[in-house]
Amino acid sequence: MLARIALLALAVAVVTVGAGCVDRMHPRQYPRWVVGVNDPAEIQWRRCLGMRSVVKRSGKAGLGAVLEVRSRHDCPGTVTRAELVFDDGARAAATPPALPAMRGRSLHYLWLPVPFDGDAVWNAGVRRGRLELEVRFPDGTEVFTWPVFQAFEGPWR
Amino acid sequence: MRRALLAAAIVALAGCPGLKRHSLRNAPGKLDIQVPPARLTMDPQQDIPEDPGVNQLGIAPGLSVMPGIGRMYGDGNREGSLELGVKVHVAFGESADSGGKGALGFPRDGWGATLGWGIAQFGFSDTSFPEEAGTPTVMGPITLEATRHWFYMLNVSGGLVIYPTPGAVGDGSERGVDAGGQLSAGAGPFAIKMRYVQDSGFEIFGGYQLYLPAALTWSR
Repeated sequence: MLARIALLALAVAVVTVGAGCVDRMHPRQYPRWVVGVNDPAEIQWRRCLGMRSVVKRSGKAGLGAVLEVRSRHDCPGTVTRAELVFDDGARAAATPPALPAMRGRSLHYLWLPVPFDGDAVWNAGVRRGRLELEVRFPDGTEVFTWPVFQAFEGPWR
Repeated sequence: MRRALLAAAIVALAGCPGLKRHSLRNAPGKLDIQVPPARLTMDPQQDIPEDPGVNQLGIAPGLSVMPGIGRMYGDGNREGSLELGVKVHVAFGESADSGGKGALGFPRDGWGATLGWGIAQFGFSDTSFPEEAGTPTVMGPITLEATRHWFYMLNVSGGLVIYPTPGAVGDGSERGVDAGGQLSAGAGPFAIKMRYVQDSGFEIFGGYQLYLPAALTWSR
């Protein structure tokens, strides 16, 4: 009798524990910063310079974006400031990328790494911001701005 | 049937995915942003981050049933008893691979602590003496041990033990507050523990333990 009770108790314990074991495998996925524009193909024009941006890498070390830079004619300019401005007011400065000589109809792609503590920003609950690039032209200064946000569908696919 | 259930129980000791919770702390992945991609394009598809690995906090409440030589005295001599105990094992570990949703969360190897309480020691009375018939019972000790475990199920522990019952009661089998040390080891459902306590001296128990492990993980 005692053996049967012990066996029943063991069976109940196994079933209880086993209920937690049934699951399918899902790989990890991570939050990532993305550019939040309605039309990714839309080019922002400031004077003679047009730009698009897309985030290619996003993680604990910050984000890396590709800048598409184009001109319709000779367009001398210098990027004087590049930074990610978070919604809570914090800023992550990047080294301003060197603009190549924009002669005639030009098209260039630049890599813009924006280092910041991705864990700290995520843990602080900051999910939105804007990527800003300030370009100085011979006759003035313009700012390119892209809204960005952190996309995250959950820890597992 | 019994062996199958036992095998299933041993597997369950390793920790089940349904008993794992993954915190979203430090959720971003790991990527080098300084080195540009080989080819710069406007393709919105992002590079897939590397797995940063996880920190793991394992919490395993358990139950133990162990016959042995404990604090029971009958007719002035030490006698056998069955100790029924509960304990909770807390373990910390790290894993370079955070795995998928179905992965085990309990740390495979790690350090931790085990807090235990021997609820009772049931004595094996010598029924040949009518005056000792029945089953004397004393409260077991409270233990706190540092624990090292490997491969989920192998563990050794060492720490302090104290019988909290104050003063002698009843037939004198409870011998008051008694402090000492304990070493224990376990392999899956099997465990052994040895104590040396100031009044009752050397004690040893061996038997079964069953854990219900759960885990909390978060990205490194």
